[in-house]
Formats: sequence, structure tokens, C-alpha cells
Amino acid sequence: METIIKDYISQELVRDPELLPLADEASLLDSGILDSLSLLQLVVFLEERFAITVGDADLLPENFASVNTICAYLRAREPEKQAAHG
Amino acid sequence: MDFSLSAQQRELTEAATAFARKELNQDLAKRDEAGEFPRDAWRACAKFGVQGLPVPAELGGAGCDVLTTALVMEALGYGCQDNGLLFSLNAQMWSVELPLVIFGTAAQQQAYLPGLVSGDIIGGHAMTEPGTGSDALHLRSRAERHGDHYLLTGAKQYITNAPVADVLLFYAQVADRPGLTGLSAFLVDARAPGVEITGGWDKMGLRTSPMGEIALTDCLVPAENRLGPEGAGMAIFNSSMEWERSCLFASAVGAMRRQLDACVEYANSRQQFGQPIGKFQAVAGKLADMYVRLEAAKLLIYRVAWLKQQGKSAPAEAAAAKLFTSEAWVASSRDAIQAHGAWGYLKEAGIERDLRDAIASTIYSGTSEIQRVILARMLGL
Repeated sequence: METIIKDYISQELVRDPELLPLADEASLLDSGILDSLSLLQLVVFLEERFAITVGDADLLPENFASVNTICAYLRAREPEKQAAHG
Repeated sequence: MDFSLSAQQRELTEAATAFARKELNQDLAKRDEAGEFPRDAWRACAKFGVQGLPVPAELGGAGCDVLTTALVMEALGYGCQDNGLLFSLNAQMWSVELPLVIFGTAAQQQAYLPGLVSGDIIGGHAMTEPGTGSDALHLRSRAERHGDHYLLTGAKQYITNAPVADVLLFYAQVADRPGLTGLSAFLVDARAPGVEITGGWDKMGLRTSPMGEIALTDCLVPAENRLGPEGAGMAIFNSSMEWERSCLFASAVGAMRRQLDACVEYANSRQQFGQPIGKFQAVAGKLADMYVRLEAAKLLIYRVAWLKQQGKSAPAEAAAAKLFTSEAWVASSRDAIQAHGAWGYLKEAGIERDLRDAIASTIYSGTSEIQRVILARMLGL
């Protein structure tokens, strides 16, 4: 999961090559990698790639602060996703 | 995707159009000229249930699904010629009520939603600042935490409903929390000490929708009035804008349908050179173009509403729907004037008002230029 997300962000959202390679704990917000538009790009990617829906109320900085927090958010959604498919 | 209307949706939209025709168009020319907000019409809308459409039944609303809500807003746009009133209603519904529904605590919802739905109180979305606009998130307004309160200071401008608002959703940057992690939203009583609202600007269009400036000076707001956690401001703002771009423009679709119907009727009745002007290809082609724009806009809006109903994020689809519909409405308004000739150019015909109102739709809720930026980014450019 970390690799998939890191690859997407590195290839599609990072505009400054000096920010690469991206560490799992690197701040995506403070570095400017994620702004209000690239966050929406990322959300659309996550919804399609992981077959989830990201609610409006989940678009909080703490969920999208780094690759690690994004993965933690997605893992927390796993039981919900399994219940929906179960 | 199935956009055929259910019997219930058909009944609701027909009732909405009949209601709008009967109760929302009185003295419109006079009100438009004077720039007067129609408070009685606002209350009538609340009684009909407009403000409560997207609010869950347990919170006092109708709990309509997104597509049904969009269909009713379209029906209102068809029956109501007061685009300013509809704009004010939409501004409250999508950028004050929905944030409360999505991000509010039970106490916040109970405190504000019943009044917003009943029409007893009016809400305003206080985001834009003198130094911001399209660059919406770089705010200067500040919130300093002092125990169980925040001290808010900042200035906002171009705020729809501000001069008549009872509650403001005020965005500010929390001190010591940089960037997006500090952007937060607060429910502020418009009559609280430290709040000053000025306005009544003389606008080109949407003249019945009041717009004003807000200045907060050391305004003390209880911490329980913060909507969502600290840093939720961007989420709230993005959510509001996506809802607004998805549903507000349904009213514009209704207005375009009203324009087309009026043009067809006029083209069939107005005689020149011994036949109705609609028999001339130059006029008929213009009306055909109006129809194509209307149908395309309608499908874009319905699709976004459908996506939102599925709980999907739809930033590109909402931006495309907003961009196309607003520009289509301007084009439709110009065509409507042209099809009516000199009569369409006169204020007393009430046709030119739509053009003045429609131009605003390419600016509010993110300009056409910003919608193109969003789309370009979503395309990976």
C-alpha cells in the first residue's frame, strides 16, 4: 500500500524534483506537495485504486499529512470495506 | 445511471414550479431595481420546504436525495425569475447548512439547522477576504485560542447574505498552526460584539441577493462553535464548493429551460415578412443551440448529483458541470435577448435581467478560469 501511494504521489503530484525520493513520514502539506487541488486528485485516485469512498469529513490534514497517515487512514477503513463486501 | 423521474419526483418538481410562479415573482422588476431582498419570499420558500431539502429528516429537513434536490432547484429556477433569491437560498443551503449536516456536532445542528430550515434565521459563508478570492485558502483572518474560547479577527468581503445574516460560517487561520493544518471554520452570531457588517453594494445582477463585508475585531467565540476539528477548514470549504457546483447550478438549468420556452413561444407568435420568425433558419438555429446547451448542462448536473448520491468525490465532474452550465447560461441569456429583438433589450420585458444574473455565475463559486485550472490538474497537467 505504501509503495502504491508513494509512487502515485511521486509521479503525479510532486512538482519539485528536489522533494524526491519521498519518505513515508515526509510532510505532504508543509512541503506543498498537497494543496487543495492535488489533495482532490489524490482522493479520486485512492477511491478508484482501493475501491473506497472518502467522505467529506475525512479530508482532514491529519489523514493526509504523510504517506504513513494516509496508509493508517486506509487501514482503518478496511473493516468497513470488508463489511460492505461481506 | 437512470435519470427518469419517479412519480414522487415529478409531483415535487411540478409543485415547486407552481409554487415559484405563484409566490416568488411578485414585484420583481421593482425589487431588482431597488436591490431589495425579498424576506417574505424567503419565508415562503421555507414554508414550502426549500431550505430543508438536503437536511436529514431527523434534523428538521426533508431529507431528499441529491438528485431529487437538484431537480427541485431546477424546477424553482424554471418557475422563479428572481435568480438573486435562488442564489441566496443556494448559498445558505450548500455552504452553511450542508457543512453543519456533515461536520456539525449534535448541539451545533440543533442550535442552527431548525432555524435555517424554518426561515427564521439566515446563514452566510464568510470565506473571501480583500486579499483572497480564487486563492481562497491563504487567509489573513486569525483565531487565537484563549481557554474555552477563540478570539477571531479578520475581514471578509463579497459575502452573500451578509447584510441579512444571523449566523456566519467564518473561516480563519488558527494561530500557531501553519498552512492547511490551521485553517478552521467557526459559527459566529452576526450580532455578537466585535462583528461589524456593512454592505448593500450596487451590483450588476443578482440584485435581490444582498452581499456585504464583514469585519471581526477581537470577537470572542466559544470553542464549541468551531465546526469540525482545528484544521478542518479546507475539508469544509472543499465540501461546500463541490456541493455548490453540483446543485446550485441546477437552478441555472431551470432558468435556461424557462428562457427557451419563452423564446419558442415568441418565435411562433412574432410575425415578420408574413410568417412567424421561428420559420427563419437564423432564428430557429439559435433556439436549437439553446436546446443543446440546456440538455448538455442538465446531463452534466444530473451526473454530478448521481455521483454525490453514491458518496463519490466528483471534483472534476462538478467543475465541468459548473463551468459549462454557467457559460451556457450566459450564452442562452444573450440568445434570448437576440431572439426577442428590441423587446428583449428593454428592462420591462424582464429578459435582460437573466443576462445580468447569469454573468455572475461565471464568477461565484470559483470563476470559469479556476474551474479550468481544477480540470487541468485533474487531467494530470
